Amino acid sequence: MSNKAIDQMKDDMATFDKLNHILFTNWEDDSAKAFNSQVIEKVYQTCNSFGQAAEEKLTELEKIAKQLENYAEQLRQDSVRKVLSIRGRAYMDGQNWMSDFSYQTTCDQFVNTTDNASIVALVQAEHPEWKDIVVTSAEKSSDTVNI
Amino acid sequence: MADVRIKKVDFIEGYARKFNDFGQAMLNNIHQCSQMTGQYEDRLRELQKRIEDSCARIEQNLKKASADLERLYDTDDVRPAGLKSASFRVEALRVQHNTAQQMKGETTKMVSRASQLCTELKEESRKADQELQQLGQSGVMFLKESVSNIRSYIQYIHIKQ
Repeated sequence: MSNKAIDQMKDDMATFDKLNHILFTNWEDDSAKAFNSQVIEKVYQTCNSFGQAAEEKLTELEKIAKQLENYAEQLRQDSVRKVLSIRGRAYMDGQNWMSDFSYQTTCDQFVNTTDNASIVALVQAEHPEWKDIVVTSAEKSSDTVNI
Repeated sequence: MADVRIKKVDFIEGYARKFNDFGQAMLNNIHQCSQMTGQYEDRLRELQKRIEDSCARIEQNLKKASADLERLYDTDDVRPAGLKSASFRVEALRVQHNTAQQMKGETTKMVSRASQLCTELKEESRKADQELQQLGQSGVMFLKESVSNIRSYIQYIHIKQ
């Protein structure tokens, strides 16, 4: 959310500043002085004070909104089960040669993990009979599956 | 001398129109700032709901995984790999659940702070609006009076001459 109103306020204040400068260059008497102190200075005070407070508060509100958006997104991702597609090689069924494997698994515990060792541990936990597991690729699906 | 004063009158009258336009523009800006608090309130309410829904889902996930683990323990045919994987899942979900609860708590605090900011800003808008309207009215009166005084003086000089 942009602070268009604040930017507009700053523009309007700058215009008002120029206008007053021209006014008091052309109107120099006691009335002008009274007008300046009774009206213009108070207008500046009101506008500047409000502008500053509004800018500070709207900036803080925007910061809060962004932080909550981050939380909402992180929790959304955490609350859905992701599919992990894993490819690799391993010695299977007591064979003397390595065979390729490729499968998909749902894995809540690896939602935030992508390091190789953790993925090898996942495969090993699901297939304890496999030996010397090598993971060549692991990809989290962008599609999420609601539980 | 009178020419200079007539010029001054024209000038002040021109300024008065611009002064009025500036006042209207500032009041409009103040209203917009006030309206923005309403937009933030809606946006934050929606985000808080999304966060709470996700927290509820995470809690359900944890309950489901814990129940799965319990069922595995109750089964006669317990496979170590399956148990390890299930307890690993429960442990990970517990961490996730704790994080979610922490975020939910912080969200409540932040929404409360935002609500306070919105209330304060609305009050400041109301006050600034009121002050500016009063200053605008007295400013216009002052300018009219000044113009009138100068005109009277010009007239007086004409009569005198």
